[in-house]
Amino acid sequence: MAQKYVCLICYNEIPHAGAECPHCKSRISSTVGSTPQMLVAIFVTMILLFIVTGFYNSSFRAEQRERAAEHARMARTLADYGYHRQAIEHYREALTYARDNVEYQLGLALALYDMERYSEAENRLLDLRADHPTLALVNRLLARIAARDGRVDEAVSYYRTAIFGEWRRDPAGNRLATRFELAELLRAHGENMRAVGELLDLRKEAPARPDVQKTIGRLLLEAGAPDNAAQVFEELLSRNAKDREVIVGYAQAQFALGNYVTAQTHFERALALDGDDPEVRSRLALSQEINRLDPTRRGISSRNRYRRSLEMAARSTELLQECLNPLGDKLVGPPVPPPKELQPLLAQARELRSGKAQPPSDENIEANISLAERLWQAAESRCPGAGNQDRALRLVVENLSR
Amino acid sequence: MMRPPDLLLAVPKKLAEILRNAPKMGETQRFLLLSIIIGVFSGLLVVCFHISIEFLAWNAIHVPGSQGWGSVFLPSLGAAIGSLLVILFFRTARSSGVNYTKAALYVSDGYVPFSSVIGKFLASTVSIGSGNPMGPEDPALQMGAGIASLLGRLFRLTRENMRLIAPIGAAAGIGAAFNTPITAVLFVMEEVVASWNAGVLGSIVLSAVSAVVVSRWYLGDEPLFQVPLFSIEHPTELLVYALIGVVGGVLSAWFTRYTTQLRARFISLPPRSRYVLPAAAGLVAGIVGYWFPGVLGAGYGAIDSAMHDQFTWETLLVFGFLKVLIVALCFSSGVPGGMFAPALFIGAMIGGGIGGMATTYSPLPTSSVGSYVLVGMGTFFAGSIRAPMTSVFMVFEVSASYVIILPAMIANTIAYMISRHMQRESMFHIVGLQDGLDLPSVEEQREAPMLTVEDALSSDSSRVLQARTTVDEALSKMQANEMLQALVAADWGQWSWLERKDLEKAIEAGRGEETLDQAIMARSVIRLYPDLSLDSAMRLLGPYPILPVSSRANSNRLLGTLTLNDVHRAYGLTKL
Repeated sequence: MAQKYVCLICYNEIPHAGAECPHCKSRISSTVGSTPQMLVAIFVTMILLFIVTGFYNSSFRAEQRERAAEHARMARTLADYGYHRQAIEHYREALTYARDNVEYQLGLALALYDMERYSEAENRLLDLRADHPTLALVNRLLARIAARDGRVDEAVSYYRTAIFGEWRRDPAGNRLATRFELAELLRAHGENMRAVGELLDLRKEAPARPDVQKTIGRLLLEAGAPDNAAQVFEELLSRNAKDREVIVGYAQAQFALGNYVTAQTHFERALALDGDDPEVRSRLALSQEINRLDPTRRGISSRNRYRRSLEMAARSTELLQECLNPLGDKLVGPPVPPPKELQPLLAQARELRSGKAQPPSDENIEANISLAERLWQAAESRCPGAGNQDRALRLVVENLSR
Repeated sequence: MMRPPDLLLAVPKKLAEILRNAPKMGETQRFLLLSIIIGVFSGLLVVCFHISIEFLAWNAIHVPGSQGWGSVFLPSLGAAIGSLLVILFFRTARSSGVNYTKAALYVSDGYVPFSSVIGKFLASTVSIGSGNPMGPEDPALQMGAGIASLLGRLFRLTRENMRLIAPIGAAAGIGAAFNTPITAVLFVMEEVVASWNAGVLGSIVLSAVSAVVVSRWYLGDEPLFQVPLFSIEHPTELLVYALIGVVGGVLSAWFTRYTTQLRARFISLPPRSRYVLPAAAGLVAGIVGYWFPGVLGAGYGAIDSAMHDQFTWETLLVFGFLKVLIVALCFSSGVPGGMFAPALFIGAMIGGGIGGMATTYSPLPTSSVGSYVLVGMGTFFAGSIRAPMTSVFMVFEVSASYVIILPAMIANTIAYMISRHMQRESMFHIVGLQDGLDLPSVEEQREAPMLTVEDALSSDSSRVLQARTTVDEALSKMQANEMLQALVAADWGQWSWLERKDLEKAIEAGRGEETLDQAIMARSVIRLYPDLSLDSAMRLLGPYPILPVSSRANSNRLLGTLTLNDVHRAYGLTKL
């Protein structure tokens, strides 16, 4: 078979080797191989090109990674020193070289969050979440942003994903911290039942470390579950009876439960360990006042009980009179008579104060307590919040009605 | 024992022997195999092209605080080197890749010189890599077409297939550059081939897909942009998208008109100016880029940042308008590079700017700025490149979001229609004319009304005779109507035709009293239907002087008749 020749410039067929190409006038020619040979040549060229491109690409990738890592390193350092704006710039640069790098994306989102550019941070985090829905840190940051904007349900959902998500560093510690954040969020938004449920679950699963248990106890107390909090602190006290924080926590739980004697005892113990805490000191003073006023306290004589009931009635009367006549002696002209419906109650109180002493029988004590309660309630209903002027009285009355 | 060099040669020899003994491939199989090979080669070349641009850009494009005033001159230097490469060594790499591919399809029997591939690669790498505001897609498209043409010649394809080979390579090139196979296929079908039922579709898909596979193998499968999540909460949000479409349409028409006018003016200058103009345009780009580095290069990084809400709406608008200015200058003066990326950039920034403004001031619900950037990107593309289908699918493909389809369709269609109304000819068409290429306008082909039989048929009942009519009656009827041929309807729904001389012969033979079915030998005909294209009908009419047009629902129901005169009249009326 006759050999075919082509022009090497334009690949058109030419009559013989070295002939001038009629199309491009060139004289560089080559024989045309049969199709199998040509196919082999093409495949060999293809493989060579694959190899060359591979080498070229790997050097490109290496350079890309190096540049990205350098910018990310600078960004981390700047972020550590609080230069968030500059850190953001470097993270952005890093991401131009390594767009898919989760660490850099997260670093950028964190820097934006720290710069309080919440909307931008949220957009970044949502993008990240779309690709990595189980990344716990992303979900926790999203939860914080949602919580900040008052989107509680959304925040709870993000927190839950974060709790069960993938933590790259210290998973147990981060899960715990996230659960605490969730409980705090629920409590802060008045969802106390959900917060308590969350904390009780956490108590079962969390490690028995005192710091963890103390936080659980504190949050339970804040969420309105003093009985559960008391249990937690009691357990901690059994392990270390001299932990001042635990003693205060237990005292507060007992206080909230209305066990003022126990609370007073523990506040005293706490004060003995650190006498400078003004909060504990004021709590102790209040506990002491309550314990001095409470006529139902166990172990006191009938006379003492009677005296306390009289004091309760007198303080309640004073509270009501202040409510009815807030100007007191400064009022010009004749005193304003009390409302008709309250006149019998006030007359009863006057009679109790001016009348001669009654025997300290249970009936008399009960009658005095009942009068004190009615007077207090009258004051509270006519002047809401009036009861707060006498906190000890208020807590005793509330404890009695419980 | 074989020495290593012998072994090295033995493998290809053995392979060649296997292939030689394998069953011979037909032209169709060879064409399909070639499409894959084209895709692979184009993919590899585009990967190298992409990496080269990136390597150069890392060291050239100004980053605030990292480089001084020297960076202002880099685009100018890149433009000068790139344009000198084209002027002195690679003249075939001068024009637009789209036009070159179309020219290969319509003019040069698929011939795209390989020198244009090398020229495009080198000149565009230097130009775009040094920061000139041009895009790599159009050069990639031409490189794909060049590779396809070279392989087609090596494969010794027939002339017909050689013509189609350039669009196949173009799809591979653009697919690998954008990392979007659907967009690549649609663009080539819409803009280059201009036909949706072409048999070449399979090959275009194969080459585009194989190019994208190769590109993703090396560069990763991440899309061109990281599109933020968004949703449409309220139908009134669509109003802002429509507004983006209006602005995108007006701006793209204006851009096309003034850029091509500027180009014409530059072409009319003395030839020596070709050495200076690109460098001058590059200098303007460098000065603008010193303060706004986002506008330099292809600008995909800036689009990505805009999608993530990193710029204020004022900055986005400034970016958009500055890019319009420097792209118009660079493109007109002959700075190597394509128009795809700039079109996307301008649209994205204008869309984002309008969207950002709406988000700030509109009392109605609005979407995120990222979604306006994304939709805006398609509007300027639809208006200037005049590929509305491609623009919608491109937005969809880069975002992978179904939610974006509706806003993209609304905005892009509006932009396309406004741009088409304001500026009749597309940018590529005008540029082609300026370069001496009068290529068929795809838009005109697309919009030309297709005539059907319905447009030409005659409902004149005198052309139809009943088979039970006597020969005498039939002849007098035909004479009265000056007819030479007529259709004959038989009772059983059959049709035939006769000539007047048949009747005259029958009368001469004394058969004037007989009915047509008795006296005349039936000449059967075929039926036409009203929805048939006039072109197809004309081919069918060839052997018949007249044909019946029936209803598809009831083939015995005659809607009219069609003769060659009717067809001529229909075409003549269209001309008017």
